[in-house]
Amino acid sequence: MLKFTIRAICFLLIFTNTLLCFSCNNSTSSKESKLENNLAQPQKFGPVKKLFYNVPSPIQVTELMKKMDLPYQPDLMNSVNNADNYLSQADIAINIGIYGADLSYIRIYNQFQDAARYLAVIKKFTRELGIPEEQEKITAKRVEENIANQDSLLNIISETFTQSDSYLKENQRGGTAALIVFGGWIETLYLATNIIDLDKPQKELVSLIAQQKHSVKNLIGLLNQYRNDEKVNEILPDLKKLDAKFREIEQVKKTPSSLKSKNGKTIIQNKVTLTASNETIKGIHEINNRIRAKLTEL
Amino acid sequence: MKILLKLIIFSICILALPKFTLAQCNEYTKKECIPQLNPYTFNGQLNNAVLSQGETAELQLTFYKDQEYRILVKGEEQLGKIQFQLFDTEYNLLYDNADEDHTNLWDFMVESTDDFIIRVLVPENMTKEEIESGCVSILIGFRAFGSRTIFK
Repeated sequence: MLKFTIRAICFLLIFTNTLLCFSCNNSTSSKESKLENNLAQPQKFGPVKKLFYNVPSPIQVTELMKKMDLPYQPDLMNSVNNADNYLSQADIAINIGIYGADLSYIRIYNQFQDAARYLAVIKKFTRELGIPEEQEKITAKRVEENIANQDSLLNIISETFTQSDSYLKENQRGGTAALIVFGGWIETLYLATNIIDLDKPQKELVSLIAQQKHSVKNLIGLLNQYRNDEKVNEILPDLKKLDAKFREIEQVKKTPSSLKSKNGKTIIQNKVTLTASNETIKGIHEINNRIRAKLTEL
Repeated sequence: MKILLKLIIFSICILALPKFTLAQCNEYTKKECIPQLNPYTFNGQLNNAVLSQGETAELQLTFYKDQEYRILVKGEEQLGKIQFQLFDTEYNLLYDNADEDHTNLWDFMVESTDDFIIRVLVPENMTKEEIESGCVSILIGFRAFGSRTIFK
C-alpha cells in the first residue's frame, strides 16, 4: 500500500510539474537530443516559441505630454482617498497601474508632495500583493532622500514597477502583472482624453490619443494570454469596444519603411498618417471614461 | 518513512524548478541586462524566457516618434551569438544584427509612431550533440528626443 502511495505521489508530482512547465511556456530542459537531419544548413531557426506584447508605460506616454505645456490638473487623478475601497487582488493590481500612471503624470509637473502621497499608496498596494518587504524599505528610504528630484523619482517609479513585474511573473502571477499594465494604460488614456479640449482639440493631444490605436491591440494580446483569469475575462469585452472605436482612426502608410542615418543617428523612415475625427476622439473618451469608472468607483 | 520523506523533498525540488529558473532568468536580466540600457530609461517590462538553441521569440510593440530607443537583446553565454531582427508589421526586414557582428544593442528613432516586431533567434549549434538552453532577455529603453540623459 505504501509503495503504491509513493508511486502515485511521484507520478502526480512529475505529471503536474510537466504540465506547469509547458503552461508557463518556459522550457527548462537543458539537454535535448538534436535532430540529425538539420545538419544540411549551418543555422536553422524554429517556429516562434514565445510571443511578448509590450504596451508603452505611463512614464513613456507622459514624457510625450511633458512637451505640450499643458496645465497640471490634479482633480483628474484617482484620489488617494479611494485606496481603501480596493480589496481584491485584481482591483489592487489594476489600481497600482492607475496610481502609477497618476504618479508619472505628477512627475512631469514636479509636484513632489503629491508624488509622496501617491507613492505611499502604491507601496501599500505592493505589500498587499505580497511583493517582498525588503525591496520596499530600500525604495522608501530613497524616496525620502530623493523625492524632490524629477530624475530620481523616475528611477523610483521605474524600479518599483520592474520589481513588481518581476516578482509577480516569477510567482506564476503573470495575469496580475498584466492587470497592472492594463490599469496604467487606461489611466494614461483617461488623462489624455480628459485634458484635451473636445470642442477645440489640441493637435498634439489628438495625435497622442490616435497613436494609442497601436497599443490597444498589444494590450489585448497581452491580456488574452491570461483569459482564464476572471477579471481579465471581465475587462476584455470593454477593451474590445475601445479597440473597435480606435479602428475608426484612418491609418495611411505612404512609403515602405526603410533605414537612414542622420547626424549619427539611425532613423526608421516610415510615413504613417493617422486621421481621427472629433467624433472618434469623443467616442474614445466616453468608452474609456466608462471603463475607468468601473475600475476606480468601487 | 525516510524514503517517503526523501521522495517528498525531491518532488518539492522538482516542482520548484520552473520558478527557480524564471527567478534566475529575472536576476540575470536585472543584473546583466538592464544596466546596459543606460542612459535610456527602461520601459519597465521584463521580456525574458528560457530558450533553447534553434528557438525563436517575438516581441510586438509600439515605437513613438520624438523618442529615441535602445533595443537590448542578450542571452547567456552557452547559447552563442543571439541574432535579432526588426520588422514592420508587414514583416519587411528593417534591421538585422547579423549585419553588425551580432551586436546586442541597437539605438534608433522612428519618423512616425507605428507598431514593430522584434524577432530573436537562438541559432542551433551544429558542432554539439546536445542542445543548450539559457536565459534570453529582450529589453527596450527610451528617452525623449534630444535629451542627453534622463536616467542618471
